[in-house]
Amino acid sequence: MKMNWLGWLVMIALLAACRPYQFKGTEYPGNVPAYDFTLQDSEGRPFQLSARDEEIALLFWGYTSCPDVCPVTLAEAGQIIQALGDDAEQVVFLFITVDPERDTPELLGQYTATFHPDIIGLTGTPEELAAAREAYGVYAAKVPLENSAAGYSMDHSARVFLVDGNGRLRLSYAYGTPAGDIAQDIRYLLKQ
Amino acid sequence: MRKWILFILLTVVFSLAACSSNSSGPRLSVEDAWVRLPATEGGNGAAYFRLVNNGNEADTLLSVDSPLATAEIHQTVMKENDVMGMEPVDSVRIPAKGEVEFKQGGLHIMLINLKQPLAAGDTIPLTLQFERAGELKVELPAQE
Repeated sequence: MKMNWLGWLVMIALLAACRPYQFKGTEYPGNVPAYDFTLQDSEGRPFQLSARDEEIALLFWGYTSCPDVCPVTLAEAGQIIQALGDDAEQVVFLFITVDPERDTPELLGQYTATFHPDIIGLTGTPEELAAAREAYGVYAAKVPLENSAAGYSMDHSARVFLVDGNGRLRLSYAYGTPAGDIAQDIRYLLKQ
Repeated sequence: MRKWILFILLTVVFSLAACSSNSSGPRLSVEDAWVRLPATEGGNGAAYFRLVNNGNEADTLLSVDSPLATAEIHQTVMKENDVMGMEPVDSVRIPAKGEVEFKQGGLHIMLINLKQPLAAGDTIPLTLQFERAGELKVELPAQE
């Protein structure tokens, strides 16, 4: 009788394991290598994507003068960190500026620290930043604002990108994706 | 004598009618307001609220002003391919018996170079200028 019961349990477990996991984010098909950039963090130190300690990297692009969209995305990064608990140690959150003119390393550091100390703000030369954006399919453009004290705003892609432990670009998420969804995908990937 | 009484009566009636036209028109209020403080010193904040018009005539928000920042009406726009942008807005029309929501990802008041230090719980004065209703002064509570 005991064997029977155990047998069923094993079978159910196997069946459960066999069901393929459905990612919440948009998957990149096949093996898309994540472009390996070296940018500068808020302390002026070089940060190379592939040389990171953490397994997973989440990439966001934005700028500090943005009062509405970027704060929401960064607040969400904080929520993801909370949701992951101990697993958050295996994830690095990168906020890459599209506005190096105004976003000095110090300002970037101040900005990201407001949301969560574990978010790293990155900048670089216009060429380095452009190359990274191009590689990830991130659009950014300066929009001059006439008659506005804001001077100019930046149009930019608001997607979030996930790079896994094998240097592959795995997933991207639309602006406004719930933090829980992203945390769920990350938890799954960390188990692989 | 009767003509005079009639004349006076009519004058009174017309005056009353003229006075009572003030009770129609737009009646505006700001509800559920909050300000997201800038994440950096001298950075930009954003104010959100519901602009409610309980009157029976529409009105237009023309401009906003604050002693603590250069205040402008802006709107976040979602363009193709998940590209987001932001643009200044000239004016916002609030329909009669209606409301317009200023919220994240949409219309907001951009508070440029918001004077700090400010903390959660502080209030930021904002004056809204309407085409018909004139000035409306509000105090907006700050949140982190």
